[in-house]
Amino acid sequence: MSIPLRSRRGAIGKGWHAVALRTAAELLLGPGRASGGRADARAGRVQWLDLSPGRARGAVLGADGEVHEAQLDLAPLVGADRAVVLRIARAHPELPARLASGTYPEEIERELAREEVSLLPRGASELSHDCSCLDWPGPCRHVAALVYVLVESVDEDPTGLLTLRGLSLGDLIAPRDEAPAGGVPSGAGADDPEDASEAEPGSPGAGGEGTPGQGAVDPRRLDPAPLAAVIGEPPAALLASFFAAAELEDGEPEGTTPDPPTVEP
Amino acid sequence: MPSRHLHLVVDDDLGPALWVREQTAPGRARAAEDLTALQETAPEPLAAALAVLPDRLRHRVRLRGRAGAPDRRVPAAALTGPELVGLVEAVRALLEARFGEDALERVSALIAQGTPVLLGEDVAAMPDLQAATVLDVEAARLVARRDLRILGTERHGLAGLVWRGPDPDRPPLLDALVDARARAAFAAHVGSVGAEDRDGDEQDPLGVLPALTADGELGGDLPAQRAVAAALEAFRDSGRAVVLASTDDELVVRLFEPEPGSTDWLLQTCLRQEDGTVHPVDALRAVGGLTAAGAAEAAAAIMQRSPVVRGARVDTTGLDWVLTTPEVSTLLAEDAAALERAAVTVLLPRGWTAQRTTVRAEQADEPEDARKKGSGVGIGAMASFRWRVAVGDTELTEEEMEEIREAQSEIVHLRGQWVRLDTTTLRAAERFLDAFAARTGQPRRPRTPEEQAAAERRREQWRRAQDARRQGEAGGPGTPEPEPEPRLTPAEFTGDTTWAEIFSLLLSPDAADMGFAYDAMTSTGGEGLARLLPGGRGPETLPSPATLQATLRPYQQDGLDWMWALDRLGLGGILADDMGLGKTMQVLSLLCREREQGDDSPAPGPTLLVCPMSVVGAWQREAARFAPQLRVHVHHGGARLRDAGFAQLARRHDVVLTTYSLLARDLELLRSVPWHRIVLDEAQHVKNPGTQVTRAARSLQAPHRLAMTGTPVENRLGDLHSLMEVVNPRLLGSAAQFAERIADPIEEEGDEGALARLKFVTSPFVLRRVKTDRSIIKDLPEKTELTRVVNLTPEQAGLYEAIVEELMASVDGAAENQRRALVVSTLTRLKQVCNHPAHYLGDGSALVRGGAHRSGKLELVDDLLENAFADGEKVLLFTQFTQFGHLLAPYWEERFAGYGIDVPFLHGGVAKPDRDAMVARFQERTDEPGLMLLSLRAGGTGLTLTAANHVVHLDRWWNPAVENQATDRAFRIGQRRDVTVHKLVSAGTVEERIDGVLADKQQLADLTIAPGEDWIASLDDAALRDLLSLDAADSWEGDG
Repeated sequence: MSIPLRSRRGAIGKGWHAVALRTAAELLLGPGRASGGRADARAGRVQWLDLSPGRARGAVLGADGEVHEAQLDLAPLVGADRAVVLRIARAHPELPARLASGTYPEEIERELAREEVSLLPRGASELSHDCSCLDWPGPCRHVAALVYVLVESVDEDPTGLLTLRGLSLGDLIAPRDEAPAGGVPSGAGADDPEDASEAEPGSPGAGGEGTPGQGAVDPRRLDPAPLAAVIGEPPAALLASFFAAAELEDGEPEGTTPDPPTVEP
Repeated sequence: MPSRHLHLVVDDDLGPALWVREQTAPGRARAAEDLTALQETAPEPLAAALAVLPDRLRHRVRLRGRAGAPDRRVPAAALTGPELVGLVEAVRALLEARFGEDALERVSALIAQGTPVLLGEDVAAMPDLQAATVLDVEAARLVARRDLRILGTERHGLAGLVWRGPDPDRPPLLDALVDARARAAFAAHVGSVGAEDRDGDEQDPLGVLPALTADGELGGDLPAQRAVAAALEAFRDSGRAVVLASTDDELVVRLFEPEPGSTDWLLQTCLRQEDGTVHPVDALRAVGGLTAAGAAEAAAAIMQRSPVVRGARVDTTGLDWVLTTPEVSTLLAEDAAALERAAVTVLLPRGWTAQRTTVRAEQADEPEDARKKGSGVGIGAMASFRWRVAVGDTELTEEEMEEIREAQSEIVHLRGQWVRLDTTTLRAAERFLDAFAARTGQPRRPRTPEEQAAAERRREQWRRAQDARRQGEAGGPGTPEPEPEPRLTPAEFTGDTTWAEIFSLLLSPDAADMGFAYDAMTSTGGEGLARLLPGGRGPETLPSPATLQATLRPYQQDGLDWMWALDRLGLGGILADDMGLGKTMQVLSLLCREREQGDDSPAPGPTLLVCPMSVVGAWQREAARFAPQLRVHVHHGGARLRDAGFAQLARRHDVVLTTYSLLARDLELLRSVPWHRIVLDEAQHVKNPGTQVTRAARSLQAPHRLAMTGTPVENRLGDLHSLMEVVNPRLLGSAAQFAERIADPIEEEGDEGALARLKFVTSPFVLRRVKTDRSIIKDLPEKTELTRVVNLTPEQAGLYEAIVEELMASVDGAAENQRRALVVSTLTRLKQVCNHPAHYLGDGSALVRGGAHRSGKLELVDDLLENAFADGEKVLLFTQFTQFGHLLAPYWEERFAGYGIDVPFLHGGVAKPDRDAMVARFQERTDEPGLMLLSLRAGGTGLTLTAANHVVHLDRWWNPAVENQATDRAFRIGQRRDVTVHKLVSAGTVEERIDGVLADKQQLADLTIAPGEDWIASLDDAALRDLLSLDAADSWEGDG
């Protein structure tokens, strides 16, 4: 497995946000490491890339034939900074769809900058790195290769920036009651009865509720086939039979679960 | 005073942990370092739960300091899952013992007050531990109900899995209890199914089971671990009552019309589920049916495919857009296709189909004085034409047309409604009107500055009215009334040119794709052809010819006047009345009338009447009977005159009858006579332009031409063109142009505009009345057509399937021409099987074996005959297989011997005198049982068999026109009873499938395209199999 880079020559990353990320990261890497990392990334040495809050990780095949796990850290936004991002993002309801379609509007970043917040690293100092190789203190070639794969990934999918900053698309959407009123004309959605019932704020997944409403999970109907493809047949089958033994309101099947505690018969 | 307080906390690093506050002296307390004393003194079952914990509290948990105070660390015992559950259950048992039934409520109240509860003499549970007992009830319930999620975790660099309840953001203690209980439950489940002796690595390569039962580490690299977590999440989602994921559901964008007074169009991102319901993504997201990321991806997918949407204003949901009218127009014109290609459905407002633009023929006028000015006559005459333009049913005003032109938009606001224009027909109408203006030399748009200014003023006025109306719609009752509508005058386009020019324009590419209508033409005061157009005054009405020895029916009188009018204009016509309406009589009356024009006009020359051999006699007899003064000569037979004397002979007669075969053979002879008129009876003989007969007919010179046929279009529109070429050469353009511009669009694309234009152009020249039109024929009884579906017998079904299989095996890989022959011969054999096994086998076996029928059709017909004979009725039976008829005739003679009937069989091999005798005998006794078998082709024309009132088509001919001709043997003037037509169709077979095709085509019978069998041969193998193979559900049950 390796991640093929689209870019064959020249700068990696086309969108302004990818360029900004790359520029900050290249300051960290220095020119020598940067060109080595570009070459390694283009050679497909990065096996995989994983983004989680505050951290991008990747396995990089080194010149020694070993696979090293490199990581690049960018602090998640917390507290007041996070609040600023959420406030500005929620004032732009189209932002999630824009990000999902591959663009990060520059005006958002400008608005964030006015409050001294950014989704992007504002310089090399915000980035730190680590690697399982012995090239200490680095940054090593593996981190450099990881940087370019990350840049291209974020170029295509700016939501990766959100992930690094500890945010999700869902966070950017104002909770229902906060949303400005009057967004949908009265005609919209009113001509299908289903719409009307769905638009009711239900209690999705409200746990203890016995009625399988919108989106409720019926554990007896789980489909283990896709799971088996990932974790293997026997564990998937065991999980499926475990879930299938759920004790629902009617007719409690013989389960292997402990009896639910009762306060008093 | 209790001396020990038990606390349960969840530490960020340690997880659930127990610590104890010990009172050492009044007012002094410290955190205990050791559990030994408690383990000894605590009441059961608490003592047992504590006994499994280490004596010394070696861990340290961090406690948040009270406001302002620093955090502190206290000794504690970290609890494993089972230890946690054991402790909480023990505490609950003690609480229940103390509070009885309402323990849960009491404890909840105490928690709220923050009061410790004594568990024993010197030990108390603090609110955090009390709360655990309440949470544990919930945890146990979640686990029992399996309302559980499994999440990936990473602790100290090690990947693992944890069990969680369905909701995030619950107390960490609940998470710990759920995880502990679920782990135990799952471990027990794994143990109970005896799976513990599995071969670990191979069966569970990633170590999922240890990670879910004990605290095993999850194997694999990070992407693999993420994949496990994602698969577990998807596993749970697969049990949702409503499965909603943008990958499974069809993406839809739905457009809403602006609210009154607004021009904001809402474009909504939606998903369509498998059951067809459409849900706005915004609503789905709100109820948790779709994640925020899924919703954003759905909207993003729209944006990626539509530049318009990318640039449009987003509404507050962030998932829907607010478009302007021009944006909507561009979206529909340009982006919709890309969206549809990407399988994104674009849903338009209800009832919002693109409205066709139609050019309407408003008036066509030939002023009476036009001819005096020396212009031509007939189609060469000058006439003035007037058109209007309509969108949907709305005729447009000049201002509205200008508005549409200027908007350059597919969406226009027309008379208070948003209308989507079909741009193809809009452009076509513009093109046509431009071409019309060019041909008439009259500019379409105002030229002079005054005219332009006037038009601009009108437009301005109109816009104000529109705005006022919009505001009126938007505003409440308080708004002032908008000024009254200016009267809406449809824009009219007028010009003068010749008929020929306008007909050629209507059939030219300049009129292609145009919506065209002429149904609302106003009656004109014009003369000439204008009278014969739809809405025209109709031909001048003249008295019936006195020399005709019959009374014309009203519609026959109309036909005469119509032929007369065309005659005066020097134009030819096609008299296409249904068979049995008396076309012969009408033509005879025309010949009479032109000979009654008074002594001052010269007597007209002879008329050459060409007809099939079979009806020469009928013409002779009818002429002698109804117009005995007409001198009729028959040019036929070996003794016919073939020299110069023929011309002289012809001149001495009024009518010269000849046949189509002689038309070609004696062409030079016939051309030597200056005919006054040529009449072609049964003119379908000249439907094929390539034949010698047709070429001969075209080459004959005569000022007047008339074609008579009951089926102007037997197979293809090309037939009509060929006929028209004979009577009105060049009216419809060349055959190739006609095919390309008119026939193909109609036949292949169902182009209604082209059909309307063709009907308009041909309307003065074709007169067709149908018998079923009760306003035409008042004295003809009802005709009932029944399609009788019969089942195959097992014998038939077996043969049928064998033949289909044989065909499918042999067409595989067969060459094109070979394939065609195979298919056609198979069709014949299948029809034979449907008729009767003996017919197909040709083995001379009995038609009925041991009293049991071998053919479903024969059984039904036997019953039908029995009933008809019992009522003293007569039946005509048609088959296309002479061979089958020969089997049937003797069978029925024997079977119905009791009625004393014989079964005449009229087919191609019967000599004419014998035929006449058969017909005469059949017609003689009307109220007695009778039966006649006819072969479809031989019996289809020229016979009158009105004694029968049942017609049975034993097998189907794939051309309704031919079948109808046969039916009309009985259903024609002279019929006094209602006629029932039985068309036999074998269920589940190719007969039934083709019957469906025929039923559709029947509706267009006036200008129909009846399929031959060639198209079947060109089907691909799968379609061929579908068409031919036997639908097993319809085979015969039992032996009947």
